[in-house]
Amino acid sequence: MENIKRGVTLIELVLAFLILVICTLSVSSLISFGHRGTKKDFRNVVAIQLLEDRMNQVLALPEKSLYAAIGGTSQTFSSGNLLGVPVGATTTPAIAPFNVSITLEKVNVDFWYRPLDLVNSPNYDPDPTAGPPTWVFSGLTKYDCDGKVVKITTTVSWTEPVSNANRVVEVVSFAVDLEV
Amino acid sequence: MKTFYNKFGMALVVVLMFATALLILGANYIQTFTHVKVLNPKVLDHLKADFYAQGLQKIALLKYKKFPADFYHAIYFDLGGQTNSPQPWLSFHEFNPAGTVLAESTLQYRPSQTTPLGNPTPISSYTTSYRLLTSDRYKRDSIEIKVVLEVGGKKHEYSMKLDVEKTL
Repeated sequence: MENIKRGVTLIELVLAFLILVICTLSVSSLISFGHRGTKKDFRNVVAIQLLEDRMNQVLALPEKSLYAAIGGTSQTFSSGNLLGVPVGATTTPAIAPFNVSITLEKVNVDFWYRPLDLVNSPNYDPDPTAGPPTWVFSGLTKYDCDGKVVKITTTVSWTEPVSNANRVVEVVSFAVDLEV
Repeated sequence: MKTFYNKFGMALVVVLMFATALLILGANYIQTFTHVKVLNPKVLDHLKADFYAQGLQKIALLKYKKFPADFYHAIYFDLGGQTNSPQPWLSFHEFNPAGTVLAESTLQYRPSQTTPLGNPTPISSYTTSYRLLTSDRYKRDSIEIKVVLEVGGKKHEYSMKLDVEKTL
C-alpha cells in the first residue's frame, strides 16, 4: 500500500508568502492613513476645545472693560493676553503649535421701535384685559445704541505637520453692556 | 490500494483567507475613521451657532431693557387682536435672511450694513423673537427670547427665559 502524502511545495509557499506580504502592506498603509487622519482630527478637536475655552473666558469679562480695551473701532490681540485671557502661541506644541487671536470690534446698533402716541390715544387704558386697545402708535423711531455692543471674533490657527496646510477655526459672539 | 491525499494549493487557500480577513478589518477601520471625520465640522458648526445665538439674545435683551414700555405696548396691542397697520410688534421681531437687514427689525448695525453681522461665521439666516409667557400687569413677567439660526444647512434653536420685575 502506497501512502503518498504530498504537502506544500516551495513554489506554493513563496506564492502564499508574497500574497500575505502584499495584503499586510496594503492594510498597514490603510491603518497608517487612518492614524494620520485620527491625529489630524485630534488636532481639530483640541483646537475647537481651545476656541471654546478662550471665547468663554472673554465672555466672562466685564463688557465695559472689553469696550475700553479697544483702541479705535477694532483691535486684534494676537500675543500676550487680553485682560488676563491668554492669546498667541499656546503651550501644547506636542499636539500642534496652536495660535490664538481675539478681535474686538465696536458695533453700533440701531434699535427701531414704534412708541405709543399718548396724545392721540384718548382711550388709552394700560390694563390689557380691559378690551382690545385702541392705541395709536407713532412712526418708526430709531435709537442709536452706541457703546454697548462689542463683537468678539476668536480664532485658533495652526499648521498641519505633514502637508503644511494652514487650518483656522473661528467663532463670533457679542458682549453687551446691559446697564441702561 | 493506493490512498491519495491531495493537498495541492492548501497554503494558497489559507493565505487568501487571511488576506481577506485583513482587508475586511482594514475597510472597517477606514469606515469608522470616515464617520468620525464627518462629526468634527458639525461640532464646530454647533459651537458657532451657540456663541452667535448667545450674543443675539443679549442684544435682544438690551433692546427690551431699553424700551420696556414700548415692548409691553406693542405686545398688548398685538394680543388685543389689533391687526391694522402699523403693527408695532413687528419691530420686536427680526428676520435676517442671508445677512440682509430689514428696515423694521430688532437689530441693525453700523457701519457695515452690507457685511453680515456674523462674518466670518457662515450664518446664513437668523430670526430673533420675543414671547410673553406670563404677565402680572407690568409688575412681574416671564419673557422668552428665541433665536433661530441656520448654520451649515442645519437649523439651531435657542431659547432664553427671563423673570423680570418692575422696580421703581
